[in-house]
Amino acid sequence: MPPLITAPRIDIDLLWMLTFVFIGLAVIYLISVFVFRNNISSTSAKTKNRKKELSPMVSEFLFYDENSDKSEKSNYIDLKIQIRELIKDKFNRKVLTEVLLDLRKDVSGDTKQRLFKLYQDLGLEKDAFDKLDSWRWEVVSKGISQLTQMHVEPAYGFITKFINDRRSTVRKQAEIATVTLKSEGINYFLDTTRYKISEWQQLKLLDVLRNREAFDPPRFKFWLTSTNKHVVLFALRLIKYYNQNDANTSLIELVKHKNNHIKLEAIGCIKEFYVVEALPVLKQVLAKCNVDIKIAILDVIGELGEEKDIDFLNSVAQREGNFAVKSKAMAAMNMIVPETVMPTEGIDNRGIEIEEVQIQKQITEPIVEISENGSVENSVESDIDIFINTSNEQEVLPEEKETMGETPKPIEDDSDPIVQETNKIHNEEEAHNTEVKEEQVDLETCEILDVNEDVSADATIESQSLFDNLAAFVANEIPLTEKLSEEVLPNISFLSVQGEAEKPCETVENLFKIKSHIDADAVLASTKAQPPLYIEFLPLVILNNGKKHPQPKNVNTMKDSKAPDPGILKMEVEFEEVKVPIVYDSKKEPPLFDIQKIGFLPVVTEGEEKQEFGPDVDDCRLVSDIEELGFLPIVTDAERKIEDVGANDESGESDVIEELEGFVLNDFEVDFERTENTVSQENIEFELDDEAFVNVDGEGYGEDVITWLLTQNGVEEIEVEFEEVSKDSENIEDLIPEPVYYNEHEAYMMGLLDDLEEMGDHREIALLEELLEAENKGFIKDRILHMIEIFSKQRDGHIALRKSHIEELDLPSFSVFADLFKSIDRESKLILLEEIVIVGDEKEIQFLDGLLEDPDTEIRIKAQSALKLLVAKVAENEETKKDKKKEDDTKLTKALFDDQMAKENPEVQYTEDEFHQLLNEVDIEPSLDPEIFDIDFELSEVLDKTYDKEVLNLPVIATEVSPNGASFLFQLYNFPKNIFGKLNG
Amino acid sequence: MGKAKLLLAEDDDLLAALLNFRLKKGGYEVTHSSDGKQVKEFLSQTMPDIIVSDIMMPYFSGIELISYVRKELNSNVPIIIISSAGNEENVLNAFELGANDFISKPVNPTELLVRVGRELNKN
Repeated sequence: MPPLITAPRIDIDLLWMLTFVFIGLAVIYLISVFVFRNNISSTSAKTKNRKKELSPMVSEFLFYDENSDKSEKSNYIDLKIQIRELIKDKFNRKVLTEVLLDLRKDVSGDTKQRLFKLYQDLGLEKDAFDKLDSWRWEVVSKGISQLTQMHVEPAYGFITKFINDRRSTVRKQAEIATVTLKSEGINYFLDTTRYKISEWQQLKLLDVLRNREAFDPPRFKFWLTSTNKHVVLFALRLIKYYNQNDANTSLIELVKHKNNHIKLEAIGCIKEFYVVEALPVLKQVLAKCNVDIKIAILDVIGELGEEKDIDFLNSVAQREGNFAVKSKAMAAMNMIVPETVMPTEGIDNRGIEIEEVQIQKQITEPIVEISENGSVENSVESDIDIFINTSNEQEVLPEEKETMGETPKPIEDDSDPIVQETNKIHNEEEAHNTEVKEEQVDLETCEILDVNEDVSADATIESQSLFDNLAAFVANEIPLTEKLSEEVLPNISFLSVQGEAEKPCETVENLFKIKSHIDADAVLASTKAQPPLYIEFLPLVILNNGKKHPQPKNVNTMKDSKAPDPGILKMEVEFEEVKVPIVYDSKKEPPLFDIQKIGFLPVVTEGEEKQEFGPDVDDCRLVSDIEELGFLPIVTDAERKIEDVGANDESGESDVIEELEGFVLNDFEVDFERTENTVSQENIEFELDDEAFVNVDGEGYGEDVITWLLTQNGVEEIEVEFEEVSKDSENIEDLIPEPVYYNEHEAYMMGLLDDLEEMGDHREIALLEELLEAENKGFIKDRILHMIEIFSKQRDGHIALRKSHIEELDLPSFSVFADLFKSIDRESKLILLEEIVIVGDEKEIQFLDGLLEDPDTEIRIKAQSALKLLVAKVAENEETKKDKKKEDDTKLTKALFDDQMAKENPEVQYTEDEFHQLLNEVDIEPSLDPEIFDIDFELSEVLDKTYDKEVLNLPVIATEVSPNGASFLFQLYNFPKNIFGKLNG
Repeated sequence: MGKAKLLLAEDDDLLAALLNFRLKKGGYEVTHSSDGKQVKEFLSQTMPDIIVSDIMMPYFSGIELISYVRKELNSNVPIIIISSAGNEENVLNAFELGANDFISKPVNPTELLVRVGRELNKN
């Protein structure tokens, strides 16, 4: 019988095979893990070590001082060479980049700036630029990030292309880079971005802008019209951040935007900038908005609104079903007119016990103020209507229903407890409004409510009952204030004052007592008998009767007038005392200017009033005034001569002026001129400068004038004549020179010469010579000659100076190829290097010298060869020039020699050899040109410098034969000629 | 007069190397310790003229270092704290424990040099 179940036959070989396979896989896996791990750790260790090697070098570069000593400089150069070699390796470049990026986070100030510079100097940004071309988003993003972090401004143009990249990471990185790299980047970004700007991105961008130094934000209102709603939103936030309140109209328009975020932000801006004009629009859009925006709008209305907006807010509070909105509307009302809506929730009136005596006292005083608009009855009636309506809608929360017990049931049963709560609060508010709308109660009583903050729910119920009973009074159309005062007050005599608030039980009992006593009949019966109601414990609500805020308690004038209190009267007395200055003001004001009372001011007089300083009455008055101002300096115009006073009035008055309380006039900074030379007869004065005094050589003052006048006119020759004339004059009138009258031509010529002298230079010599020829007046001719002489001197000096100046100027040689070289590609550079050899001159030597440090090897080699060729060419040119010059000089000498010989001995003919022999005999240099000694030192220096360079000794790969003969063969060819030329001097 | 001895306690090698270089260039004899243990060892052997320490260090924080120097070693050696931005609470603690000055990261090495000089001049 075969077995019922036969075990499947297991292929052992297969099992073994599978086992080996899995073991093999495991081994491979473990080995690969081991290898990778080792690889990573070794790379890490290598990087760490390399960082350690590079960081001192970086430090050396960062803190290198230009003014350091020679050893440091040589060390710096060595490091530079070393680091250039190091960064040829990709790994080293990567590590160095990491080092710089790490250090960027840790350093600040000038070190950071040096770090950025070093990054670019080492050409590390090229790697980042290469990353921008990658197809992998993370590589591109990394590249952008690196360029941004290291502030590579030239990358701006490349990065802006990624602003609308479809890869969000790249895009965001590009956005930040654009805003970071250039201050105008934010403009470009807002103009061009088409994608969403996330909240986080906005924060980052704002942070970048915030940290920008000397950032002048653009007017962000220009982007409020963007079709990208995110741009609009960001612009709004930026407007708010930078307080740019010049976009009010746009802000108002944006309140109607479909996007709630924009709407909300615009509302925020409106509130921030206090745009009152937006209120009508805000009211319009309120109904259509969601809860958050409604709350924001109500907040703005509360902030910017006026009393006229209370009605609107009231209607919102009534109409709105949402608790938060309703609450905000009431808060807004209270913001506009504080305590328009009073707290009702959690108010406990238990423990409020007013002393009977106090109540009786208060009863005698009229508590209720009648509104300005109408009678109490009318107002109350209107309020009653409101109260009835609102009380009909009164609702309570279910929880409260349970606790209230005796409270009246709500008429409407709203299923929403929050709405119930809201309605309840609202109705209670309405009830308060109704009760005291036309009354002003002393605010002191409100404190009673504050005392009882920790009241229990029962107390709330009781107070609610009280309000309900009050409503019943209203329902009977009895003037509220009268009824309350008549009926309630006698029963609330138990109410404790603040100090006795710790009697809750008594209060609760008596509150019930109130209810039992509040009966319509009783009220009617006692209407006339009872004094007015003391209802100061009730909240205060005032209608729009022209009063913005509740009146302070101490200015309740109506109350005071009806029941004058001694204390208040006392206050009035004080008030009158305060008024005293006003009475004083109403009096006739004293004159604004009184010389007696402005003793602290200096006396300022005009020069034209000089003659008034005589011994007349005015002078005496003035002097007496001055005496009163004894402690003050006297300030007069420069022309004023105080000596006049002294001369005309030698009494003590002048002494008084000069000695003011121990001071003399010299102690003050007064510009007096003690001109002893003043002629008293005529009062004629001349202000002569020092130079004039020197010129007259002690002659009469009239001569000074003449000298001065003639000097001014530049006619020095005539000056002598006038001096002679004036010598014999003793009379002052004779000292006055005769006026020099020019005819028209003379005046013209003198004016012209004046101008030429003042503004002309040696170039006017030709004109002056022409004028000299044409002129027949002696003194004009003399002047022209004098001017020619001066200008000739100037010309000689100028030429010499200019030459020396030009020689002194060490102008840097400038290669036209330098700029071109920057903007072309590699191939073009190589071609250009060939062209430089052909068309270049010594100016290109320095440029080529600079290219020897170019990172590109091929360019470096090409530059080397070009430099060698160019140097050879320049040297050759120089030699050729010298030879040519020497040749020309020889020819010139020969021509002169021939000419001279021909003049002296026309028959004799000299050969060339005889000429040279003669020259050698007399040892005459053939050249007559002094410029032969002018050596171009600059070029020599350049040549010396370049010859000294070792690079010139390097083998040149390319041998170029230039068409103008700068090749080595050409040099060899010319060598004998050069030797010959040198031998010839 | 010899160079002033300065102990630089900073765990970031790169920053430490940079500050080390700058301070040495500024004329100080700088000893660098990269963690709290090394600092403690160093201080047990010799007392520098001034200590510049990072707050966040392995094994032994800057705050602990101040406490150690002031309370256990009873030394009034000036201590300048290097703290990261947003680490104000630690800075306050450091001052309470007796730090003389603080400089926040990112560090301006030139500023640090000035502060070190000022503290040494005070003492």
